[in-house]
Amino acid sequence: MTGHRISRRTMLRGLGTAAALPWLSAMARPAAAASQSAPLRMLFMYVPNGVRMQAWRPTQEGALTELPPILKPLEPHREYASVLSELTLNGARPLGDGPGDHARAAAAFLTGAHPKKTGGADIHNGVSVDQVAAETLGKETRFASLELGVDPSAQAGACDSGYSCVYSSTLSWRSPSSPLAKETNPRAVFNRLFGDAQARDAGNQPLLARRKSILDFLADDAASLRRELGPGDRRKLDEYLYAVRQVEQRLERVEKENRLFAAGIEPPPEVSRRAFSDRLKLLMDMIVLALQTDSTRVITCMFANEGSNRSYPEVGATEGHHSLSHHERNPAKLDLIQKIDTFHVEHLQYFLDKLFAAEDGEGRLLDHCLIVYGSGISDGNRHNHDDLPILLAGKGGGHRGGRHLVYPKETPLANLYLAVLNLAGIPETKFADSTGPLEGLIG
Amino acid sequence: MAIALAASCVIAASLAGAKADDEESPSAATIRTALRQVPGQDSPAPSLFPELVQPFFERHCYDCHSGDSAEAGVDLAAVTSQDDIVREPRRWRRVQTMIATGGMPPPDMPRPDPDERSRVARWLEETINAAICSGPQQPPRVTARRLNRLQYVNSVRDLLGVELKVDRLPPDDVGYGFDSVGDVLSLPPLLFEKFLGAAEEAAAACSVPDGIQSGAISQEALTAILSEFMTRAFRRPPRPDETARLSRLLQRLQEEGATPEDAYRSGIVAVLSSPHFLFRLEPDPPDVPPDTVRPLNDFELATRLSYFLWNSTPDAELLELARQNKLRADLREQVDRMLADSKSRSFAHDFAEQWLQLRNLDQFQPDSNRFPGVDDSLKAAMRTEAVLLFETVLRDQLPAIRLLDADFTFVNRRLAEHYGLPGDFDETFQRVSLKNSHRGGVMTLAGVLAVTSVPTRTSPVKRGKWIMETILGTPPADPPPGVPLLPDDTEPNVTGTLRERTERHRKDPNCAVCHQVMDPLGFALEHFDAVGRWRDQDGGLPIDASGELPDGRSFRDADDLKQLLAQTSNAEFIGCLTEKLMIYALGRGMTDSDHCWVRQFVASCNTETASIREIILAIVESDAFQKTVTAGSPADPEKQQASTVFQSTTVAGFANR
Repeated sequence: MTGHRISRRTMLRGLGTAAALPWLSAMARPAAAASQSAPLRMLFMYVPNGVRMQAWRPTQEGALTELPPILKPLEPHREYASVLSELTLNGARPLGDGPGDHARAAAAFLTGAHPKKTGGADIHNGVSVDQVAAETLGKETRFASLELGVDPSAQAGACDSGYSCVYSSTLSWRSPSSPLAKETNPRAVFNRLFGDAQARDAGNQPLLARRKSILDFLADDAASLRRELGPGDRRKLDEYLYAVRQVEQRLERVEKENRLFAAGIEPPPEVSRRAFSDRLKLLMDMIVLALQTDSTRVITCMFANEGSNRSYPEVGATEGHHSLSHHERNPAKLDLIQKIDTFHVEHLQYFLDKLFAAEDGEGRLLDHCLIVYGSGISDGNRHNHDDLPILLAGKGGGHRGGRHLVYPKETPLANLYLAVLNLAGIPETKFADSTGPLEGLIG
Repeated sequence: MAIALAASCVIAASLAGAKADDEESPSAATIRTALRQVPGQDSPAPSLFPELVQPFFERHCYDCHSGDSAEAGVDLAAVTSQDDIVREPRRWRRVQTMIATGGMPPPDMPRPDPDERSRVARWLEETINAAICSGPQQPPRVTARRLNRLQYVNSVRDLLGVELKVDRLPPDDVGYGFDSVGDVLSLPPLLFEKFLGAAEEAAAACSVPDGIQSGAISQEALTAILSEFMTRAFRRPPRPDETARLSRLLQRLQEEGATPEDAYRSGIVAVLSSPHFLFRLEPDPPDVPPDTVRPLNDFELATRLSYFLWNSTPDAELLELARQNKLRADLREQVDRMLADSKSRSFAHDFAEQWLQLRNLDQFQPDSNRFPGVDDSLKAAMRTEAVLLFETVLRDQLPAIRLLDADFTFVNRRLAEHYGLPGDFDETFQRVSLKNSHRGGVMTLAGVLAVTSVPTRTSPVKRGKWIMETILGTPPADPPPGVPLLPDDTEPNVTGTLRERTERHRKDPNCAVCHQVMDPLGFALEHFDAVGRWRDQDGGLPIDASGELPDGRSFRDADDLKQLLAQTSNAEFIGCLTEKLMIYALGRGMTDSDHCWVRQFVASCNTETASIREIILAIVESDAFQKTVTAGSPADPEKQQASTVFQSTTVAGFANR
């Protein structure tokens, strides 16, 4: 193996954070401790540009006896993982809108919707599954959900064939017109979760009271303004009011849970935007922290924005990922694609390792998670949105791993989401284009 | 072209009846496939309908789209002349888009000849545009725009004298190429928290007026001080209920034990986190009926102006003029004053970086084996060079067309080494002459040449596309799905120059339609490598940068192309730059009305001499900038008409097939 192994430095750094955790988990897991059984956590992880399907899809249906090359890194957690084949994301197809498969793939991935083709006016998509879950699972935590990713939104030009960049860079949509921007800096995630300011403020009653007064003022202000506006502007005010309520809710919990913030965990180091692997691992460290402290139960994370042309010199891919994904069946390019895919899965492994190592209630954190990992594109060269590479990991809700489940062709990906919502005890009967909950995940 | 006076560049779009027009769909924007002259108001030749268009429909469309049971209710056999199209141009836009983008005829039907398809599409487009521009025009409603992070930080600086770092806030999403577009500037909880944190930081750092610190101040006096702050932060005087609400907040804070200073600072946080500060709102006055065009009030106009030219809040002079209702009378003087103010650098930098797509440099990682030493400091220098060029053309009121062929640029030591320029340089940027150099103008900026390359090589296609969308305003249509990229020259069996390998584009007629424009434009820049350095060879072979455009214009190399475009495409360039500035200024995509206005503007001005300032003045004086429309469902101008072609009231199903 060459230099694309987890660097020793990162490993140590990761361990350093983890070492602080047993203390934390003993001291500060208020919500989890309150309810007897550990809560279910739901996570969604996205990789762009599809994968090399021949090296992803297991050859045999049923028991996962032999992991395909890309999934090899997951060997230690084989019993926790199911590969789900033949799931389809119909909303990502053109349906008369022409090119733009990358933008649509990311936008539709968690919404199952067909995003409106627009460079900016009236962006319109569907509500994403994580946000449906957050409505219920987010009630008891400081953060209803967290949205994370390595890349910030693109900052110039058009992203994909007449689609606003927001589509390629956002998985989570709270409403059809409210995309939820990602946090991309691990340090900022930490500060948001446990930052100095929060630690300092937690015991400062006058300050908390003052903040509450200000938020009340703002809510009044916005409510009175909202009555004067037309429908388009009212949507903007609704976003605002929702944000105010979220911060209010958090303030209340800070008071209840202020022990949490005295913990004094070391914040992660700042890393450069181009240090992909370090950055992604640190983000995953933050996810583990957020879950262990029960700060949130719903998280989305984009390994890269859809259509990303990042090069991966770590595995010898000096050409961009998107360029390579148009491989024309060229074996050299396919090999590089496979190396990138495997590299991504190694990061998933890093994450699963940590969830496996973390105690949670009467088991491990990984026992109480449901993690959907995959892409909204199957083969990057064909831009097809059927037979997607989708993996479900974790034993949350009774999911039984270690299997390769093959569904009838054209089974909506939304069926998986409906099943996952149901496993979390959310009694939805329909999500996007679902035709019924995906069967066979438990038992 | 006769020399026009500067003032003649300014036109006022007519504003007859109140009819809303559709936001142009993005695909419609991308279908202006070829380099074309800026069209006048005249409709294209009606005779082409029987000669070209009807036979095309007959051959490729009638099978499904004719008779009573026509697919999607679109009966193209019912069209007998150009007049049928002129009568309902907006509905025809969908048909045009389907033909132009290749959405129709469907893949299982015989493919039309690409050249014929593009001629039909162009004729339809020009017919539709001429029909729409001859009708009544009105500005659309602009969605409430949240301040983007640059505007937020600048505003806090100008309100409180506190400098916050821009990157303490996350980057904003981009629509139509710019991060000032209201519809995509959302406010997720994450961002609201950051605004709240930023407001707390600013309030903690700002100085406190005399009398507050000592505590010797009445509730009324404190409210009055903060109410004055509200006027500046909300960019208009607060209403009585707003002042009353603030007063209640201060009361409550003091009851909770806050000192007057604490209460003052909390008041600042509240005002800076209020939707009236965070959003630029243009609420409908109560006495104006729905869907009615109205002029902005002076405060709203001052706000549009200052966020356009300063990316910041209006200053005392603008607010005072607004208070006296004298802003419109003084508009040109104010624009000049604002452009002369150093705060306008924020506009110049921000606009130039986004227009030229230089922010993508952040993500650009050239292969370090082939292009060693491209680090953040070099990338930063590339960005600085570009914005200094734009700023100079703006400030010195040079003809805007000099952006294409300037004979000077700005370099520091790092960039001078990169370019191989002789001379002594240090960290500061110096203006250097580029006479007798191959470099000069935006197309040969290292930053532009880099963002239009891939990590391992140049991409003439990307460069050609960049020129078409950034310089000429005629973005090419998207490629058909499943098109492979060019092989990399590290692969075995790849020989010859990139140009030889790209010739494949010409062989497939479906590709050639766009690539016969895109590729020659891009190849003209082949003397510049993927990080913008000059080179004489590629793959060991001498570079051929010559080319010919489909309309017959030919050039030897980049120098020649620049001259050619500056001399014969200056109208397209001015039109394109005007559109980009409008999107930036208005925070929305271009509508049909806007396109009509840009055509009129370009036709009215001397595009060889027009300066950026003149374009800005024209935009600021346009209806699109000065007016808005009250909320309400706009009447569909074509809804009431009986249509023989479109049998159902909506043709949405047609586009969604």
